[in-house]
Amino acid sequence: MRVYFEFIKNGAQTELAYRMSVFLRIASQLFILVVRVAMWNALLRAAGGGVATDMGYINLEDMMTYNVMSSVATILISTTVLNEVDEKIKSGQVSIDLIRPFNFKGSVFCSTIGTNSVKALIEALPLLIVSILLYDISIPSMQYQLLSLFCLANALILLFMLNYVLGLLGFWYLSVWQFRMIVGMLIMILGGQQIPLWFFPDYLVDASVYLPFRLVYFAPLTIFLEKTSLIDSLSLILQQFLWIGFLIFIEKTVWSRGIKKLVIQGG
Amino acid sequence: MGNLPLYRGFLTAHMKAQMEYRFGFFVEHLVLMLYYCISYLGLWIVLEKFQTIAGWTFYEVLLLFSLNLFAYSLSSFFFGFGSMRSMDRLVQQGTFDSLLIFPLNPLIHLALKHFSNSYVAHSVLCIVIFVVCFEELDIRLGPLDVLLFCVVLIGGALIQAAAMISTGTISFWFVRSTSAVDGAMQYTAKFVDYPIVIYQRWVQVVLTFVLPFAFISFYPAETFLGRNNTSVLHGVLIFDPLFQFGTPLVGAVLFYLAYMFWKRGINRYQSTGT
Repeated sequence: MRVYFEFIKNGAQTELAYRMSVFLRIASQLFILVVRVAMWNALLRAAGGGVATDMGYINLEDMMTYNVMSSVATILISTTVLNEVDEKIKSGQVSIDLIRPFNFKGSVFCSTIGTNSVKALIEALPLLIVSILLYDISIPSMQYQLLSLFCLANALILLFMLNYVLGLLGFWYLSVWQFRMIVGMLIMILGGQQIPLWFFPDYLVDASVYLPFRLVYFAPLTIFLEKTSLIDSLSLILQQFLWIGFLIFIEKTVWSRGIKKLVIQGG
Repeated sequence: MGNLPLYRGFLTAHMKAQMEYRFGFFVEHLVLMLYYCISYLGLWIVLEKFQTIAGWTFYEVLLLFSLNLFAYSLSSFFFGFGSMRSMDRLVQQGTFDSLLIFPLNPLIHLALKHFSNSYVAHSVLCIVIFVVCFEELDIRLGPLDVLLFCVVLIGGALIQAAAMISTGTISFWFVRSTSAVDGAMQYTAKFVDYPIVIYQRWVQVVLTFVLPFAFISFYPAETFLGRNNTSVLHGVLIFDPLFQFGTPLVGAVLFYLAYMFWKRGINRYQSTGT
């Protein structure tokens, strides 16, 4: 009899652990959010409730919104494509994928879409709800909402392409995880995931214009906060398209070279 | 302490294995250091714009960061991933059971067997940053101060170790909750990267009396930076000056409690024959 009870306990524990891990992910996002909001609160309060920057006056509500939406956006556009591609190349599975009648990149992209759709519902939505209850968030007008959403979709593709191309480097270098760790961190910092570009020193802002990173996190967020005019918002979205196009071009080149190397090696 | 030569053997064997691939060893550490430096970049950007956070300047906050990171890395040498923080995996895979056969205290055995050297990078970086911070803040430390500082560092590591050991011990009761507890512990520890005055009163109380992570960075920093209760934000003066010397005591007490907890866990584990 006792054996069966152990099975019941085991089943319950497994299910609980699964739910727990989802709950945990939301909880950890909340933890991080609480720290960030507290930090920005302290900073802005000391500065007198707000601070003037090149892109307008930033107040407490702006930063709260930025922090919350940044956490939400991070969940929505996250991708594991880097690891997936890396593993497929190392294990040699990529050669099997070549034989398959569908596009390798397309399949990986679609799995990202699938994963993120579920994440949107199970992680992002609860986080958003809790955040709205806890903090004052400013919601922009309809057109800015649509614009920022469109920008976010582009950001997803952009982040995907960046990671994908980095992943393809696995054809040449066996162990580049350290390099990727650093690039990942750079994307986060220069992309404005933690700190909005409004607060960057001038030379960093100027430099970031030549890099695609700010288009990943900062662009959709700044549009959401209505800190950019309609024209500038559209310009940002256009830049996203340009970078995506450029990355696709690079990807095709790297991919064909990589496949050639793979074939020659008899991988 | 007749086991001392054994411990030395463990350590040597581990270091030798790592040094085999010498180039990778250095590159990996260099990269880790770079990684943390970049995260400090974020802090620098913010404080460049805002000058202070709750009255703490860049180098003062950097000191907080580094005290926290050092405690984390020193503790992780022995009780990090692969040891206490991975107890769920070790128990489930039966690896832990194999340790119980040895005539060695399983906690110590695990701590030394696992000895993860990758935290050398963190530790060295922290020490460099300590020096830089004190330099930039024009703080001269006499030999007694340096001694006290080292005691504080060890105290902080003991606090983190207590947290990690508790995390591992939980797995004797709830195997699958280990990562949950681990996450909660470590995220809470991250709170003390910043001066705790920026948080609401109840958070400060929790960080001082319930999960005393504040003793790792905040209270020692208050002493060494000569701040002496000048940290005020939510209209609150931070506790008693005596707290500033609490770190080693809190560390020792917590570590002892965690060890007792561990012993209870092990007893239960062995007696139920799981």
